[in-house]
Amino acid sequence: MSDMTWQDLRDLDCEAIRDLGEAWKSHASTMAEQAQRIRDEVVGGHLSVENYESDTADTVREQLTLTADRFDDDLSDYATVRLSTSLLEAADAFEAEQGELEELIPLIESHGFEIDGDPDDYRVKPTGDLQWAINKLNPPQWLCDRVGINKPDGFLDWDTLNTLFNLQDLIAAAWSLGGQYEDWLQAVMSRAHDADDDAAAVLSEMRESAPGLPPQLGATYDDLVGDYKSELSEEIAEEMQAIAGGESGLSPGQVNEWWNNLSDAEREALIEEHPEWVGPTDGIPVESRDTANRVVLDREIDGIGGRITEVEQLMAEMEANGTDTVTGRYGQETSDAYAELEDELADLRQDRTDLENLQDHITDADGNPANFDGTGQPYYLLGFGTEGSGEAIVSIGNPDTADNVNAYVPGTGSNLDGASNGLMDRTETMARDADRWGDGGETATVLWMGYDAPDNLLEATDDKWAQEGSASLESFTQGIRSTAEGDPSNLTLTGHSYGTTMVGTAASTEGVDADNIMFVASPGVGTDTASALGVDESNVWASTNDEDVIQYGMVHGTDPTSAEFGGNEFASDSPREASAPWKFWEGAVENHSSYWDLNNETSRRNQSHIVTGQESGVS
Amino acid sequence: MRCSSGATFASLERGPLMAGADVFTMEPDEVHKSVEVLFDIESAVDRETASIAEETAPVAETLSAAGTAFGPALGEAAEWWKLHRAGGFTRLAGTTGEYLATCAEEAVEVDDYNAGAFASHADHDRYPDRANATASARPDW
Repeated sequence: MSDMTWQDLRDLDCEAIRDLGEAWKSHASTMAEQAQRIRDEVVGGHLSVENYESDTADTVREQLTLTADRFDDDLSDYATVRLSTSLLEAADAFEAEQGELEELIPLIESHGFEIDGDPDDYRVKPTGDLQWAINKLNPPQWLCDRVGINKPDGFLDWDTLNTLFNLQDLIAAAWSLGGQYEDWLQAVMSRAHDADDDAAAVLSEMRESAPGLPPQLGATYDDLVGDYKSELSEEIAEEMQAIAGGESGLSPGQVNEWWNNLSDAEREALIEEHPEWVGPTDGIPVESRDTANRVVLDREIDGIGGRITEVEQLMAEMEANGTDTVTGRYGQETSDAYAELEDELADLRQDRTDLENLQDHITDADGNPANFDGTGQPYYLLGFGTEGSGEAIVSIGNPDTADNVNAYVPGTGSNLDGASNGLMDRTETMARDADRWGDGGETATVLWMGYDAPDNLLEATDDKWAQEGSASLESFTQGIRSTAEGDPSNLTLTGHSYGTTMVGTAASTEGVDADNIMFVASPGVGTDTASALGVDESNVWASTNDEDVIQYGMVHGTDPTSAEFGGNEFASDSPREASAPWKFWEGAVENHSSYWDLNNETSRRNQSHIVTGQESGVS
Repeated sequence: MRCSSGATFASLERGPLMAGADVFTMEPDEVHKSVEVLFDIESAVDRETASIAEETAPVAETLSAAGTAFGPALGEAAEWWKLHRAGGFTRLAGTTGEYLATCAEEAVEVDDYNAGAFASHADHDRYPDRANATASARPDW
C-alpha cells in the first residue's frame, strides 16, 4: 500500500521515472533485435537445413525458435507493457498531482492553514496564528473579503465592532475554506495513492503468473516440450481471462498495448472463442468489443430463455403434485419453494424483456448493427449486465474515431429497462444536439450505466453506489483514451442527479481522464470544490434549473452551481409545469428531469457547446 | 553427415534427441558460427540487462524512500527480469550454444548435453570467454 506523504509526492523526480520508462522501452527494442538474430543468423542462417539436417537439427531449430519467441513475448508483455508503460503512466499520474500540489500548498500556507493527519486522511485546519488573529479581531484581509466586512485597522471603531459581530461567520468561513483545501488535498493524495498502488500491482502480478520458459535441450526435452507447447496454446486465452477478471493488474492503456501486440488471428480467435472476456474489457477497441458483446447478448438471451423453461417446468410439476401450496393457518398458502420460483421467473422474464429491447434497439431489421436515425451513427454495445439494477454501456458513434466523446452517467432509478427507453432517449437527444449545434466534428455519445445505481431516493443519500462505481468509471475513461485512433478526443463526462455524485466521486478518488465534467441537477458531487476533481476548474460545468427540487436536497456536498464550488454555471430552463396550480410539488419534481426536453433548448444547446468544445457559446 | 572435412555419414547411432532419424548432415564450421552468434547474443543480452537493472535500482530506491508501493515492486521486477526472464533467455541461448559446440567439435550429435561435455570437448580457442570454470559452476557438471 502506498504510504506516500504529500511532501514525498511533491519531491518525486517524475522526469527520472519517465526517462527510466523510455529506457525500458528502448531496452525492449534492442533486445528484440537479439531475438531476431536467433531466427535470422542461427535458425535461418548458419544452422539452416543446408548446414545441419537431422531430426535433432529440427529439434534444435524448434527449441531456438521457441526461445526467441518466448523472449519476444516477454519483451512485449513485461519489459514494454508492464515495466516501461507502468513507469510512464506513473510518471504522468504523479506529475499531474504534483501540479495540483504546486497550486494548492501555497494557497494553504498563504491563508494560514496547516496540514495534519495521515497521508490517506489529511486534515487542513487553521494554524494557531490564524485562529489567534481571528480571536483578536484582526482577521486577515482574505477572510474579511470572504465574509464581506472591512478589515479593522486596529482601532476600536465600527470595523472592529463589525468584526466582533461577524466572529462566528469569520470562523465558519475559515473552516469552510480549510475544508475545501482539505477536499482538494485528499483528492490529490487519493489519486496519487491509487496510481501508485495500481502500478505496484501490475509489477507484482507479473512475477506471480509468468509462464514457464521453453525446456532446455537434453534428455528430458522431448518429455517437456509437449507440455510447454500445450501451455503456450492456452497462454493468450489465460491472459485475456485474467485481464477480463481484473486479476492482471493491467491498466486499460496496457491492455490496449497487449491487444495490439497480438496477431490478427489471435485477436479474432479471442473474439470468437471468448467474447464474454473481450466484450466488457476497457482498452480493447470499440469495434471488437461491440462484435463480442452482441454475441454474448444473444447467448445471454438464449440462456435466460432456457432457464425460464426450466423454472416453468418445475412450477408445473409442483402444481401437478400439489407442492405448490401448503396448509397454513388460514388454509392453503403458496409454498416457500414455489414462491421463490415465482420470484425468479418474474426476474428472468424482466431481464429477458430488457435485454431483448436493448438488442432490438441496436439491431436493424436484417439483424445487423443499427444506426441511430437522428445522426446516422452506428450503435456500439460496450457492455451490459443484469446484476443489481442492471448495467449497459451503449455508444452512438464510435468513440475511437470521434472528435468528441460525451459519456452520460444517469442517476437514481437507472436500470436496464432505461437502456432502451428513457435513458437512451436522453442519450439520443444529446447525440442529435451535438450533431446539430456542434462544431462540425463527430461526437460519440455514450450511455454509461456501468455502475449499480441506487434504486430510490433513500438509497441515493448513500454515496456507496458512487464509491463502488468509481474504479469502473476511471477505467472507462482510460479505455477511451487508450483506444482512440489519432488525436485524443475531447472527452466530457455528463452526470445527471446521482450520476453527478458518481462522476464527482470517481474524479476525486480514483481520477478520471476527462477534459470536461458537467453536472446536471446535482445533489452534490462528493467534494466541496471543483479543484478536487483533477480537471481544470474552467472545464467544470454545472446547471440546476430554478424549479428543480434537487436544490433542496444537497446531500453529497456543496452545490456545484455555487460560486463557492468554483466551477462554471450554465443556464437551463424549467419548462415543465404542475398538472394543477395547487400541486406545487409536481413542477419541482418534474423539472428535475426536464434538461433534455425538446422545449429546453437553453440547456441542450449549452450542453452541446460544452461537449463540442465551444465554451464561448455557453450561456 | 558432413563432418568438418565435408564427408557425409548416415544412420548414426542416435540418442533420445535423435530417435527415428535416418538422415544426418552437419557442416561443423557453420555450426560453430551459429554457436558464436548464440554466445554473442547471450553476452549482449546479459550486458544490456545488467545495465537496465542498474539504471532501475536508484529510481526504485528513491521511490521506495518516498513511501511508494511502486518503488519496491519496481526494484523486485527489474531483478526478476534480469534473473528469470532475460536471464532465462540467455541461459537457454548459452546452453544450446554449448550443446551445438560440443556436437560440432565431435562432428556428431551428442545424445545428452551437459556442461562437462562442453568443457571437455569444445574448442575453447573459438570461445575464449567460456572457460571450464564457468561450466563447473553448473549443477549438471
